[in-house]
Amino acid sequence: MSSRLRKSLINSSICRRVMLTSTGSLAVALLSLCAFAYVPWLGVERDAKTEIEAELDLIQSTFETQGLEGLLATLDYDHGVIWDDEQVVQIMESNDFIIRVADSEEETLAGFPNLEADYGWAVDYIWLYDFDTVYRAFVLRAELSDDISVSIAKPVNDDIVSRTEEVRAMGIGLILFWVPTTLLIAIWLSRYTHRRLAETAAIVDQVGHDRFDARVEVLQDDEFSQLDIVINEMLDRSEALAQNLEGVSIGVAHDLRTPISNLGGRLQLMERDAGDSEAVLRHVQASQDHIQSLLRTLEALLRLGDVEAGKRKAGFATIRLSDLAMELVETFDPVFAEADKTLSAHISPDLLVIGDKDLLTQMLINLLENILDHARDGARAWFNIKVVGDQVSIIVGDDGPGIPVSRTEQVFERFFRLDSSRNSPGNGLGLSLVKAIAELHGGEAKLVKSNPGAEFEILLPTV
Amino acid sequence: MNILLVEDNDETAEFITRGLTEAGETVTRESAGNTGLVAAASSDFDVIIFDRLLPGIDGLDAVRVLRESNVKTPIIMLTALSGIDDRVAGLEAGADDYLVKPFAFSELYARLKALSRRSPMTPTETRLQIGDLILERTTQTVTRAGQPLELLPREYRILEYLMQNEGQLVTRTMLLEKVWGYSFDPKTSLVQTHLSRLRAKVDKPFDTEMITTIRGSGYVIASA
Repeated sequence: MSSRLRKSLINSSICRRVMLTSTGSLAVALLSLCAFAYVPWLGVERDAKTEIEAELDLIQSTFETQGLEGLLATLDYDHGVIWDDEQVVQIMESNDFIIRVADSEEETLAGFPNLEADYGWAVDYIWLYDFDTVYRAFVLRAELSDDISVSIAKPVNDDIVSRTEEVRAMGIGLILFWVPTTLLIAIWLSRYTHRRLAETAAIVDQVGHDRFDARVEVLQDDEFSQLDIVINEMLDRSEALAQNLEGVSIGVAHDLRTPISNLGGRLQLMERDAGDSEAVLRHVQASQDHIQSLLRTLEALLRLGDVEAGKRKAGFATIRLSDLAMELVETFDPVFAEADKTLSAHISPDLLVIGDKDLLTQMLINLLENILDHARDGARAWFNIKVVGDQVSIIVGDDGPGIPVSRTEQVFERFFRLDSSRNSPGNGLGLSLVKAIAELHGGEAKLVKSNPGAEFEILLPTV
Repeated sequence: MNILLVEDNDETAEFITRGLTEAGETVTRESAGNTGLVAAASSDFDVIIFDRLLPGIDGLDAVRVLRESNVKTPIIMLTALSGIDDRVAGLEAGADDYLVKPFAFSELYARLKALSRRSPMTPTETRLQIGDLILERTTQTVTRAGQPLELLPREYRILEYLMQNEGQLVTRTMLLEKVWGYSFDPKTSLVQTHLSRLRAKVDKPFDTEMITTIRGSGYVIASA
């Protein structure tokens, strides 16, 4: 069976998410790298500018007090007023400024002629052709007078320059390593996820195509296996439900067949006894009884459906359970007496539950009628309600004959009858309804004791 | 009785109409919700029978409209076999009674009778009397021929309901609904059991029987 999962990387959430997070973190990494390089640079730049500005002040005051001649005299170093490359190297070694004084024709009057810069601040390169090297430097060019300008340069520390270059190299390396690696991880992850999900999907698909017993094989203990376990449990429950439904259909068919065939029989009898009006009346009466039994079964099934679908929950209210039970005892006492059975009741007063009065009444009546139907003549029955912990415990029991231990599991099943010939009274829905109603109220119904005698306990949450 | 029947199913309508006509009642039949609504609002009927599901206007809405336009005629609703929610909805919409299909004709007729003649012995009356049987509501005591009868609370309420419907059939389901408040039919014959106990107290010690059993249907109380 082919898998219904599309095998496409573009459509894979895992792939997309891995790529997205990886791109994001790559960007963050690159940004931090830049910051790492740029922050020291800022300090260096600030210091250099302060120093250059101080030097400019100095030059300006020299120019003002001693004139151009005086200024040029201060720049007259070993190799003369005009500096050559060697002079510049010497100056740089003594960590001094590189200076150029020019006139309005861009003629170098003093200093290093190669220091050509625009007015204002710049980061420029200083080429030393004789040494075949280049330096980066902060440069400031300012006017001293209308036709004289000065450029002052301070080379950037070698460390800083090399650090910036290292960072750039690291950034490129990072991109070159990171992108293919995360792409591989994304592909691997999405492939793996796809494979695991495809295995599960294939099984679910099989179940969807009538292979109800197919289950996912759980080999590992990871998140996918947990999903598989949950799916397997769901499939188990669905299968049980489907089987139950099948049982119900068979039960319905069986239970309806008997009264319907009886009806058919009565119709034939009516035809035969057509002349005898008394006999016909008798057949009509009997037919009506059969119809009643049919309707009762249908009604019980409908109610059961309603209750199990949770339809009745909207009308829940606070119910005085003790009063309700006392009324039932009063109602059923004579009915038990008539059936040659005794009913003793111990009802704690003032117990409240949240629920549907009609359904709770029916639940208790079904339990009492179960005794009336199945307990032996002369049986003693009891009906007790009390609080146990945070629950209300309702016990309804009798002293015989009870239910064989081997069948106790089945008593709440629909259409279950101890007497499989279905000749015993009841339609096998009463206890199913009891259980469904108890569960609708957030409680449970169980057979606590049987053989001899059967005792049912209903636990409901108290208010 | 002058009865309006709003029912779209011909077979059900015929079953009801025939039964009512044979009992000497007058029946007007409408087969859709809207025409039924018009008829109910324009003529004077003693009782109206409304099917729950109708073409045109839904029976439930029709009843609501009638009640809103102040039509006070007693209404009984009919519905297909289903859960209790329908019943509650019907009564909330303003219907006076509710009957689940399929039903015995006697059941419907008994309910119609009970609805149409609510007046003589209203629940507000303090004393109900049939022949020598007297029920005092204020003291909740019952006497027959001057002798006090010891009734259990449930027996008292059964007798009270029977006496409110003097001379009329009261069905088992009616008793279950009105006296016990059950909207479902228990398997056990609890109504029969309680009625036989009541009769043992009301009728047995005396020469004549006032409570009569109508086989398969219910009970009638009448002066002997």
